[in-house]
Formats: sequence, C-alpha cells, structure tokens
Amino acid sequence: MPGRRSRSSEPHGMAVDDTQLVKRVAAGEHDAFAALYDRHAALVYGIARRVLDNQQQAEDITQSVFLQIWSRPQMFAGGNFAAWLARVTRNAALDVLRSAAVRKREPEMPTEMPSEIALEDQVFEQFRSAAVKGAVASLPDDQRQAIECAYFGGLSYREVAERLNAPLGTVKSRIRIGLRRLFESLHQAVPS
Amino acid sequence: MKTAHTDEMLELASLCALDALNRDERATALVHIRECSVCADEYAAALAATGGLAAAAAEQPPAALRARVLGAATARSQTSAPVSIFRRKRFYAAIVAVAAAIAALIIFGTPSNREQSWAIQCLPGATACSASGRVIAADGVLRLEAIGLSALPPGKVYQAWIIQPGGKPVPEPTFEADARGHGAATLPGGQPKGTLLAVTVEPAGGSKAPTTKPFIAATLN
Repeated sequence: MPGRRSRSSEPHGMAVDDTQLVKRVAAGEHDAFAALYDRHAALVYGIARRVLDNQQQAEDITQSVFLQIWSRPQMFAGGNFAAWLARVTRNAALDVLRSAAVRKREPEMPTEMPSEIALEDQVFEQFRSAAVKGAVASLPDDQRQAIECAYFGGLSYREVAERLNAPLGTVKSRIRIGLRRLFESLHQAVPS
Repeated sequence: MKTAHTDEMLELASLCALDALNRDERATALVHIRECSVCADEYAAALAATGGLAAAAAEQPPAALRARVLGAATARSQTSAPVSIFRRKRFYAAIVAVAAAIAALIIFGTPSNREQSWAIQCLPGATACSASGRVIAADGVLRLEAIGLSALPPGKVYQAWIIQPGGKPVPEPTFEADARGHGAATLPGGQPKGTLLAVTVEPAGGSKAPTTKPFIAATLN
C-alpha cells in the first residue's frame, strides 16, 4: 500500500516522543505538558483559526483542547498524536461553528485511529515546513476550494456542491482527484 | 457478502477520509474499505492528504496564550473520570465546592487600561459541557461572552448568576445562544474579588433561584 508502513518500524520522530510526553502528562508532569503545547499549539490554533476565522475563538479552542489533554490524557489511545490532535481540534472548532445543532458534549476525543500511514506521520512532523503548505497551495483552485470547504467548513460533499453551485458528481470528482494529487505532492515534498 | 468495487466506492473512500459523508454513507464506505484493497489504498492516501491540509493550516498563536494555557493547567486538577459532585450534593453545597474548585482554576487577566477579563470554564461534573468564553469588565459593567453553547429546547433559556463570597446566587439576565452557539449577557460591575459568575439552564423568563446545576462559571479574582 502506498505510504503505508508498519507502526512498529517507526521508533523515530515526533510520534514516539509525543506518546512519551502524553504518558508524562498523565503522571502530572507540567514540563511534558508545556513541551506538548510548544510542539503542537501552532497546529491546534491554526486549525481552529481556519475553521472559525476568529482569533479570540481560536484561542479559546486552543485552551480548551489543551486543557482536555491535561485533564484527560488517557483519551489519547495511541497512534499519531498530531493527527489525533488535529481531529480533536477540528471537531471542537466545528462544534462551535455548528452549535445551532444540539451537540452537548465535550470536544470529541476520537480513539479510532485510521490505518497506519507513514506519510501522515511525516506530514505532521513537517507541518512547519513550507513544502507542506506549498503542496496544498499547488492544488488547482477548484479542487482546493472543494476540499477546504469540506474540511474546514465541516460540510458534506452535498453541502459543498450546494455551496459551490456545482454538480454533485463534479464535486466528488474534484475532491478525490485533489486529495490524490495532494497525496502525491506531499510524497515528493516531505522527505522520507 | 462483499461489496463490489466500483468507481463510486473509490470516491466514497476519498470522501470518507475527508469526513464529507453522512453517517450511512460513512458506514457503507468503511465496510467496503475493509474488504477492498484498492479503496483501502485510496482511503489511506486521502487520509494522509487530509493530514497535509491540517498541517498546512498551522499558525503560531499569540505568545500570551502559552502562559494562559499552562497557567490554567497548573491550577487544574487532573481527573481520570468526570467528577460527579453534582450528583452527591445539593445545589448550595455544590456551589460552595464549585466555587472552591473554580477559585483554584487559573483565571487569566488581560492587562489593559480599559478592561480586564476572566476565563469561563466548564465546571467539574458538567460532563457534557463544551462551552467556554470570557467575562470582561469594562465601562463599569461585566460582559459575559460564551461560545460553544448548545441550542436549548423550547421554553428553556440560559441564565447568569452572581454569587458573591459567602452569598447566595443573585439572578441576573437570561440569554439565548445564537445559531453559532454564542451567548452574551451584561451584568453589574463592581463585584468584590472572589465573586463567582455562573450560568444555569432555566425556564423561559428566568428563575429567582437556580433550578438546575451551573455548568459554566468564572471567578472574578
């Protein structure tokens, strides 16, 4: 499978270190919590800011997510911490965005991790790199727009089609082709 | 019975990774992905690409946020499970405990010539709470600004309460959450240090005394 690697073969990089830090957080070590914040605050804040388009709300989401990690570190069940954190943050920000719907719950802490994807690990390790941003920016506008509407707007592909006033089939195709193109660009941009 | 691989399934696999399917479609896609290596590859690739999207959004937060978050953690106890003090104590007993817990929470201030603010936090035991926000003191009043509020059923409203140290809850304005889950209320300023500002869910029109347990609060330190 392209980009797939056994997780047991990846005792390097941030995924392993993050897991150790989370264990130390669970033991009440503030230094470990500070290290996790320093490492991932930009990711959390950036996603929240992108979803909500509001600095104050993004700060509040960032605080809320990190305090959840501090209070309930056991919610992280393993895997790539940054990928998990990104999903937690997106869910929390989308909850605020969609709060007209009744969703009485704390920021969702997903425990279901996707299949083991080495590239995803590397992407999150490299998230500060211009290469990752460049890979996203290099997508054709119509594909990027459809993908970002779904991801940052929390829209289904049907809602994306309505938002963009485009046929359903076109939107589905743009998303699939765009994600495949982005995957391949990331493969080239992120050193393995 | 295995579902057949089709181009539509390939698209569903990609859309599933992007979280752009409804619940039924997602369930269908996940079942198929487990059975079809082609679609599993597509799903994995799309998931990695989605990770790239998230990673590319990274942006350094304001420097002051770090102290706020780390300070809040320092003052916040870790729990292995939600504390159920509300189940064990009556309201007034609970509010005392809550006040003590909240007083222990780090409350951030925003040094300014014009205003000061305090964080609104979910209370221990409010397990379904995802709200947060601020209380801002400016121009002689307190402005409660909450986000992440759930829509309430008909006939219910949010109500603010001021509880001065050693005092009983004083009813303050009711308010509703807008379509984005934002709610706000203006309360009298000049409250003594240690005053607790709490929010409960009450019948429309408000109550003279709380009829439910508070779920968010801020301590004005």
